[in-house]
Amino acid sequence: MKAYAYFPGCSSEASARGLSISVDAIAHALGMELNELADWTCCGSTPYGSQREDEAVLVAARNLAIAEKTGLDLVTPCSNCFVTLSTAQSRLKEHPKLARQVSEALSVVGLSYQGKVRVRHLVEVLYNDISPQAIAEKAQQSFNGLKVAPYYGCQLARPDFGFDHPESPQSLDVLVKALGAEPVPFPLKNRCCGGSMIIPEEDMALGLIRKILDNALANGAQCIVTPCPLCQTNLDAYQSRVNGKFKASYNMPVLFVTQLIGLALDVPPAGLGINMNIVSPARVLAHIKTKQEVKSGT
Amino acid sequence: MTEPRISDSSCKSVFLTRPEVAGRLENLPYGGQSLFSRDAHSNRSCYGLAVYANIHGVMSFVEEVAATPGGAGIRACIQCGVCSGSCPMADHMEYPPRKMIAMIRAGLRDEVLSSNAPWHCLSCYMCTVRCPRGVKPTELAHALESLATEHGYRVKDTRTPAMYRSFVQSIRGNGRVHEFGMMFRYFLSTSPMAAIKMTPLAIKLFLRQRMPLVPRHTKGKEDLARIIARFREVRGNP
Repeated sequence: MKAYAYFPGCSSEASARGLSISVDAIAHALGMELNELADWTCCGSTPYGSQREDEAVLVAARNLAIAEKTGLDLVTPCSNCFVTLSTAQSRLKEHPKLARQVSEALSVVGLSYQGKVRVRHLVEVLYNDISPQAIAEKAQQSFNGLKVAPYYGCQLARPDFGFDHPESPQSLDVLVKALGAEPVPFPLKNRCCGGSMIIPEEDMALGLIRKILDNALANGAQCIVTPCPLCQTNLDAYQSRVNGKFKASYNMPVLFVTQLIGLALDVPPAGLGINMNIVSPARVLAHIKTKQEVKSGT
Repeated sequence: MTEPRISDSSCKSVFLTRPEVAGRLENLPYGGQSLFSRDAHSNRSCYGLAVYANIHGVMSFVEEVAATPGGAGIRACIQCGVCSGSCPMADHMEYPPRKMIAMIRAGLRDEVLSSNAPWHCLSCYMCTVRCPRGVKPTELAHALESLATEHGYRVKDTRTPAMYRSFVQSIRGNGRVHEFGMMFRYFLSTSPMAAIKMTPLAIKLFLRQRMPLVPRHTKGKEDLARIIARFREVRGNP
């Protein structure tokens, strides 16, 4: 059992409940002890920087300082939190004056930050610390050749904090394969879904979402799997609006990779928040067989 | 796609309103008219202006951008255009990234800070990983948003600033983003009618427990407020 400090991110309390529920459900079985960061707040996300770039770094630094006290690596399942917290670390290194001012502000509540925390994405931890082989060994169920489009989104491998290839990532493909599913070729696997632009500029974002759904379908995918809370909401919840706008009839289940792993570990769907998905994942569930059944070809 | 051009007159007006520049132009061959030559639309003429301005030390916008966290890479740009070619939103931007960088170096402060271009950046970082010079246009866009907000620019043709404001108000009020509250505030401040269009989706999310109506209380919120207050004092920027 390896211990980590855990940063769920704001969306874990709302649109991406399925992500946090499924992470909690698989962590123990995979040998991860996730200790939720005490009194965490927003990571200092992109919109915050648009109002005050310097203050966004401060907001991130508070979370980093709390994590540093634990002496553990800080793991987040949210791609945007991962990039925001990592970028804030670079900023503090590059701007010593800003770093001093941040320290002084943090001292008001007895915190300090030395820049020692290692910020990590959950997928990177699953891949490097736990390993796809170990996950495969622990899996009792197999997806038996289910065709999966592994959708990385932007901020897992970009801008590039040292994990996976920024334009041709492979980690999710390998993880999906370890569960007995078949990752399909997916050229748009890390093109943008529109992110939070879905709220103010919905028409533009729906066009981007459509391209991704179309690309997954054209390559024979039966479902899309993603680690990113924003991507899942855009592709899943806004799918009906894509259909409305483009007179299309997409019916593509979009699961979190942690939900897929949970199903393979034989966690009941409700324990993974799968009932919270908007596009029905019934066809994914129907594909599951026990490894025994797959072996004997029944 | 045709990129919008910066008109000669726009370059000129920015330049000629500065008396120290206008005076110097007279000393150049042909009264500096070559800098505004007709064939040297937008970038070339503006690049000429930027070079001229740097020599004479009259322009500060590029310095201002470079000094903002995230803006430091701007000087390295070689105008290759890989950023604009990689940008999924270039078609929707008043000025795609390459042009925006040229404009910053030409000192077109008002044009850049009131344009929708930085606000349409999705932070997908494709330009950033492809840039051969390490400019980081994504971070540059964030820096420009921050400058536009700080200096009170009214940004045209985008609702993103209103959404970002609601987002940050939610954080300052709750410590975390409360999605429902953020959306509610955003639609109220922009278009309540659009909120009606969103209702069916909101109901679906609510029924699946993905849209709690009340924010969860976090103790971090009070600490955050104290830290921010102190930070603003220290920065001398309330």
